[in-house]
Amino acid sequence: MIEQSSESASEFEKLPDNTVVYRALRKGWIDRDRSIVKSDAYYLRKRINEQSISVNFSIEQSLSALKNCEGVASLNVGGIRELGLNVVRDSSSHGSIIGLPYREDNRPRANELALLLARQSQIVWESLSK
Amino acid sequence: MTVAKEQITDSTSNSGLSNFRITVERLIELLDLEEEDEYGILRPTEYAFRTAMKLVVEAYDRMGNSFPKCSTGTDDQGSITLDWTSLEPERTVRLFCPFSAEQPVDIYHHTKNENVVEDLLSSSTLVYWLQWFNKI
Repeated sequence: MIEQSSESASEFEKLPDNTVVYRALRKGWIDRDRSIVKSDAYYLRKRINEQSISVNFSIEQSLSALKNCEGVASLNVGGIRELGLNVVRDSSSHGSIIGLPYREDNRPRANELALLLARQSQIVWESLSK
Repeated sequence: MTVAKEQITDSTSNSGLSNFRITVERLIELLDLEEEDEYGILRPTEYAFRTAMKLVVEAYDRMGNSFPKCSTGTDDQGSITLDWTSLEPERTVRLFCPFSAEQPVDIYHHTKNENVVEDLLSSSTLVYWLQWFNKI
């Protein structure tokens, strides 16, 4: 029988739906014409066997996640779950959006989920250097 | 000149030539990106760039003034994506030009009721979906 008895497991078990998470945005992930997040921000990288999309729990944590961060987007955990995905907390500062397929394995679904996540995203910080 | 610059960057412009120029400029700007960042490759591969340019030029040749502008980007392997986005009505066309010939060029079109990816064998398919995108 496998038991999860560590304090960290219970501490990080379940995020409430009203939790806000933040995604660091790389160069090119913002549609400058409309000031919206592009779906590029939500594809898994198969070449590195990426299993989840990284998110943080504050804008500052996301800013430090990428050296040349172009922006930060916020998402609501409940909205992500409505897409059939989940968000789990890995540590005090890092969470993971799980349940996405690789684009290489399921192009329509990967594209759709990336687009729907992008539509849910609100840009909360943007670099001045464009 | 300021006036010319404003014409090129006017996001509400319907001019196909202006939209084409913006699109080409955005593709060329990708070549100026750093080669990579901590996420992966940033600058597109030559194969991706040539593929994207060829398709955009051919589509513009056929569409002329109705050519819509798009945003451009790269993935972590140097593939290029071109996005035509309308929020109202919700409509997206996304052209994917892979980093190498080992992957297919594909086009994704999305509405509230439709979510399809198809391999792109010629610019005719791109023109078809851009004309569909324009029917708002």
